Amino acid sequence: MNLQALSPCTFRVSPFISPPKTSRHRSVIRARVEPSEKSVEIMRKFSEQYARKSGTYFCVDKGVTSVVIKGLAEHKDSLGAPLCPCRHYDDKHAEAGQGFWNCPCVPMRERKECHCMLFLTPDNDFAGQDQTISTDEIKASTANL
Amino acid sequence: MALFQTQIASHVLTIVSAMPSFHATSPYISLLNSSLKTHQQNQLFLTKNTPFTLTTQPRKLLCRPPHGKHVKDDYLVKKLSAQELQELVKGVRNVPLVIDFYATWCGPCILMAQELEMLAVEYESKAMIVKVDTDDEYEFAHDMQVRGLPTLFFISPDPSKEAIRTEGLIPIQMMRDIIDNDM
Repeated sequence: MNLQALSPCTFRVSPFISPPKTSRHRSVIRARVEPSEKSVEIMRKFSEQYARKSGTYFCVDKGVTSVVIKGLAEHKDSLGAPLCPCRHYDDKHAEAGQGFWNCPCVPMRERKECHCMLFLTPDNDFAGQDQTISTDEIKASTANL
Repeated sequence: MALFQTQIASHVLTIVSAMPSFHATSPYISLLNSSLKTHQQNQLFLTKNTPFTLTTQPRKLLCRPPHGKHVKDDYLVKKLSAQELQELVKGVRNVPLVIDFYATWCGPCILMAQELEMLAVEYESKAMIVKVDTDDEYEFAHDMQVRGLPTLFFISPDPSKEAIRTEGLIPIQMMRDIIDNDM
C-alpha cells in the first residue's frame, strides 16, 4: 500500500466560517443535469481511443468508468472542455481555459496517473481487461444515480 | 459564531493515497443496485400470506406500492448541508466524525460511498459518518480547501487530537485503522 503521510508538513484546517476577504465573482457550475447524449458519445469514443493509445484499461467496475465519462461529458456541455470531474475547483471556467485538468490531464499525459480511475495501468489492481465500453453499459451503470 | 477552527486541532495530517494495492472484489455498483431494489408485489386485491409480509392477516392492497428505486432515505451515510455540518461539529460529540466530500460525477466517490456505507454498518453508533456534495456546497468545499475528490476528514471527539484528511480512494481497512487508532 503506497501512502504518503505528509508530516511534519501539515495543513491547518481553515475555519468553516470565514467570510472571504475579497469578493469573488465566480459563476458556479452545478453538476445536476444529465449530460447530452452527443457529449457522452464523444467522451465514450475518446476514452476508448485514449485507453488504446496509452495502453491503459478501464476499471473492473464499469460503473466507475461510466460515471467519469458522464462527468467529462457534463463538463464539456457546461464549460466547453472535459474538465476532470474528480476535483473541486475555485473557478471551473478558468481551469477549463487553462487546460491542466482537461482530460487527458497533465498527470495522465506525463505519468499515466488518473485519479478518476478512468485509465488504469495494467499493474493496477482495479484495472480490468477492457479498453472498450458501450453506450448501453454506460446507461445501465448510471441508471440509478 | 464559534469558528470551526476552535473545534478541531490546529493541525491536520494529510494522507494522499496512491492507487490502493489490493484486489478488487465483485463489482460494487451491482451490489449497490441489488440493495436498492425493493420487492414489488403487483397485486391489487387480497393477497395470500407471503414470506415478505410481517402480518399474519391477508392484506388488501388498494394501489400498487411506489417504486423504491428513487428512495435514498435508507442510506446510513446522510448528506448534510454546510450549515447542518457546522452545527454538528459545534455540538457535543462522543464519537469520531467522518466527513466525505464528493461530487456527482466522480467515479471513485461512488466506490468510496459504498465503503463508507459498509463502515457505517460496522461502526453503527461508534462513529458518525456524513457526506457533503461539493457541487451543492461550493463555498464550503472551497473554505475547506478540498481539491481532489473524494476527500475524507476524520475528526476526533477529542479536540486536542489532530484531524486527519485523506484524498482519493482509500481502502476500508485504512479507514478502520484511522478511526480505531488515531481518533
